[in-house]
Amino acid sequence: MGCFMSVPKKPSHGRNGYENPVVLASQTAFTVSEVEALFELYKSISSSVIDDGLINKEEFQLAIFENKKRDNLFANRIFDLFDVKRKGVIDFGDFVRSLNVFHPNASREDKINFTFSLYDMDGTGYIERQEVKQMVIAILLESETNLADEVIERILDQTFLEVDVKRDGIIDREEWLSYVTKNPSLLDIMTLPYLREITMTFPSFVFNSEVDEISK
Amino acid sequence: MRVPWFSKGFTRSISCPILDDQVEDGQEIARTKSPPPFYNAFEFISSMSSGFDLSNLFENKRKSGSLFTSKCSGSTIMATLETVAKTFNFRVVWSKGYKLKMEGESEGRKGKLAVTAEVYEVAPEVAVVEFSKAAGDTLEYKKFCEEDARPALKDIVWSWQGENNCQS
Repeated sequence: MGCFMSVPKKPSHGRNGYENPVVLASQTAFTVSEVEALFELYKSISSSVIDDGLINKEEFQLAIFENKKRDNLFANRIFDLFDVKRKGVIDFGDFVRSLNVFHPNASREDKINFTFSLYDMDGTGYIERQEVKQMVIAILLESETNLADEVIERILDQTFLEVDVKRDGIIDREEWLSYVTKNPSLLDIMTLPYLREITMTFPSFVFNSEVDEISK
Repeated sequence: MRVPWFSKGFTRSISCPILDDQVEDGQEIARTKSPPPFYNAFEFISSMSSGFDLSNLFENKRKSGSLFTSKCSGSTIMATLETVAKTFNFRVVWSKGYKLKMEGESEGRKGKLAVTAEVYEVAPEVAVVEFSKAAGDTLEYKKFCEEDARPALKDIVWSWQGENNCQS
């Protein structure tokens, strides 16, 4: 996958070819200008540690945590989902298509599926109690809170009571869909209003795009 | 209602600095009978996790959080919120159970600023307080949260949304 940009005089590329912004725009809610603006963002993130045109885990952490490297369970989970091809790095196409799910116009279904995958840490297709426990412990650690194991188990009991309606000890996609539909605030993390202003935040200085700006 | 097993072998590193029994509140009796509504694991994780928050990719400033955790009891938190409201000349429009609404006295850019606060609990030791704007200008609301409410609430706040100091 990936083809070299067909437009001359573009900024220098990494060793890999970047996907054509026109193609990426056609696959996502972004306009070509917005994809080009995302490229500016991508360049700054992907060159922060190793200038190879790809975002590795460390560079991703630096971007999320304002230049502090943090081996954080949640950021690592997002990284793994953005790393669609499981190469250990995020390429530009992955970046754009993954951010697309966070666009205000992206479908609710896509957002719900993404959150399910976020919590399904081992990718079994089910959210297991142990996975939720791990995340609760991680969050408590982040806010320097210690809770006894029994207390954490009780949090899980009550959570599963609310979500695991089939009472089989795991949360499947159907239960998740039903639960999130009733509690849409769980999708708040899945929308980035900034994506609507991306061309203002990251102006792209490419003047010789051969594509006319057609409103989507 | 405190359950014995929960206190066994568990040491609190920091307790609520405001002693719960010093709180005098008309709704004290009602609140001690039932705890704040449950805030489940997913709500807790998605609200408090800065690792899940991609807005930092786009913003230079940390965005102001409108949610914090507290180790104090629900009653203490409610009483503190009411006191803070009065400090900033906000009238408590209503206060019921673990939810209250306060309204500023002066007219802002879009009328009087009104803020609701709701207290939930993840566990008896961990309460979560959510602010939201009920009326008025968003910038004024954010300013109120950042500059007024935040410092005034520091005695009961354990950690604010989006501010984590530890590696997890």
